[in-house]
Amino acid sequence: MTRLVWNGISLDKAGRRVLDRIELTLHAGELLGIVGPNGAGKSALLRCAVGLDRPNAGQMQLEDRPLVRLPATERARRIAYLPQTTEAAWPISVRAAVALGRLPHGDGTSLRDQAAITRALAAVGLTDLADRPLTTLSGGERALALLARALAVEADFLLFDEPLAALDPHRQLAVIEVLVAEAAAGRGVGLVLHDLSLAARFCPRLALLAEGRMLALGPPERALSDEKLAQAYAIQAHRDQVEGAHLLVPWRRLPPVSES
Amino acid sequence: MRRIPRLRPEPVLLGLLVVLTLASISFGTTSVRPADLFAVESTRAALAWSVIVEIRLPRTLLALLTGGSLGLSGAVLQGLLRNPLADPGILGISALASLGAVLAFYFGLWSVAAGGVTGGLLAALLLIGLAGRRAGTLTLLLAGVALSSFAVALTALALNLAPSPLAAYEMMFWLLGSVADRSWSHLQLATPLILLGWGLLLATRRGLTALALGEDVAHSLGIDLPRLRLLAITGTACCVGAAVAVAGSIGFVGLVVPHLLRAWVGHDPGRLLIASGLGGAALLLAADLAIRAVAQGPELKLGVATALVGAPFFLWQVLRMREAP
Repeated sequence: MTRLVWNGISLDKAGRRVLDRIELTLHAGELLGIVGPNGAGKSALLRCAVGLDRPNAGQMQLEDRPLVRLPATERARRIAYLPQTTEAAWPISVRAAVALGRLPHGDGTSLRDQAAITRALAAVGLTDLADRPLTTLSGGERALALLARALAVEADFLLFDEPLAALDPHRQLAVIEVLVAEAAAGRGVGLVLHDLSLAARFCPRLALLAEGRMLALGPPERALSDEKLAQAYAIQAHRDQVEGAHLLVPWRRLPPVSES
Repeated sequence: MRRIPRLRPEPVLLGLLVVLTLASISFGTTSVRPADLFAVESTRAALAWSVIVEIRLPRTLLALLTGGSLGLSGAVLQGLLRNPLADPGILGISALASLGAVLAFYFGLWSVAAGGVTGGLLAALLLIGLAGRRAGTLTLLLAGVALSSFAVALTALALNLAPSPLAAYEMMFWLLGSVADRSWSHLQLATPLILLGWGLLLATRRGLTALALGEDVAHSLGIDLPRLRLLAITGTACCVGAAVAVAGSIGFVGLVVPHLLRAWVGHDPGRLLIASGLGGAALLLAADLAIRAVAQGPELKLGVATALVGAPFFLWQVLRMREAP
């Protein structure tokens, strides 16, 4: 069974507990949304999974094997990671940037590599801009190119940190459809996002983080219940059912819950 | 945006290098005609051969090795630090190699070249020690800048306290950088280290390509960043340390060459390495040829020539970049 497991992960950064005994399993073929207020530890959760942060306690496991034992190239082939922000240092072309995703597999010149690059570009709709320098694109187009770079890895697990943040609604929907398709194709997708409406509609399972703890884990109705929303965000949401899907719109702020 | 030419840069630069090498062996203050080499008169042939083998060949090879080292390490450091203003000087390696050479001269130790090599290697050890194996790029950069300033200050101190004006003059002259009047023994000392350095630097190729999108992405693509930094530092220390030790400090080649060739390789920091090494060798050889061509009175020092031509040229590039959209 292909799965990526956060096994009691705790992480301290600068004397602050960023993650506190996180238990989470990302299965192959699922789209898991990771939500929570700013500073809840969502990014740290993904960073631990690719070895960018080293947990103070607990262990990352890939198919029951400790992740730290896995050679770096092997890990890079199995888990693709898209950071929240990426600064391109050089005006490389969009195609060259996407080709970086093939580095764990080889030098990017084989037919399989070329096919993966072409597929990734098509998936985000940037085929026509493939020869443009990355630095001349708009913010949204650049975000799509970086997303294509991560897709081009064709990894078993995709860990994407807020890939929707820079996009207009049309492109947000397009990207989330791509991710739904990736999950349907058997990959495990871990998606950090802030848009609760998109999270509730598209992610069958949600992990709600607050102050480094796993506050709730389950289907949107349960993970984003009135009680949990109040606890995590101090907000109230407006809810409805549209086309059989859960519609949730953040509606009003609540007075902050006093620490007990 | 400049259109990327169709020709691959490596063969073009290699061809240029071959032409320049032949020119460098053919031209000089003593005129040697090809016919002389095979002259029936044995003294004439011997003289011709000795001019070529003992004077021009070491000079040419040293220019190739030094220029190649500067171009290659400049490209590696710009890729590693993700900054087009980085060059071998920025990490303090050139400065410490210069200091080592000046101190060896000052105390009459061993040989000047060996002092330079020691200085360069010491710089690598200090950088790795100061910045730590797991340190980030910024720490490395700041440690290098501090190291460089300190080494420059100590070099100035050595000049200041020189036992005689003549000694200070000689040290200053050596610091200006030149490949003239170098012998095979200089080459013997420098070549193994330079080649070792090239080997280490060329191993950074894949890592530098991945670094184009930042350290987090490079890590997630399976690149071992601490190892990459180690390779870049040690490689630069070996080849630039050895080059400075025998040829003095020569500026601007490591900065300008990667900059000139970057667009030609599609801005890929990994593909830039070999092109930049070849380009650096070609540029230094061309500069040395130019010096020999204009030689009147005291010969212009190579380091002075590269800076004199390099600085305005670099400024012109900056202005062109500013005009481009």
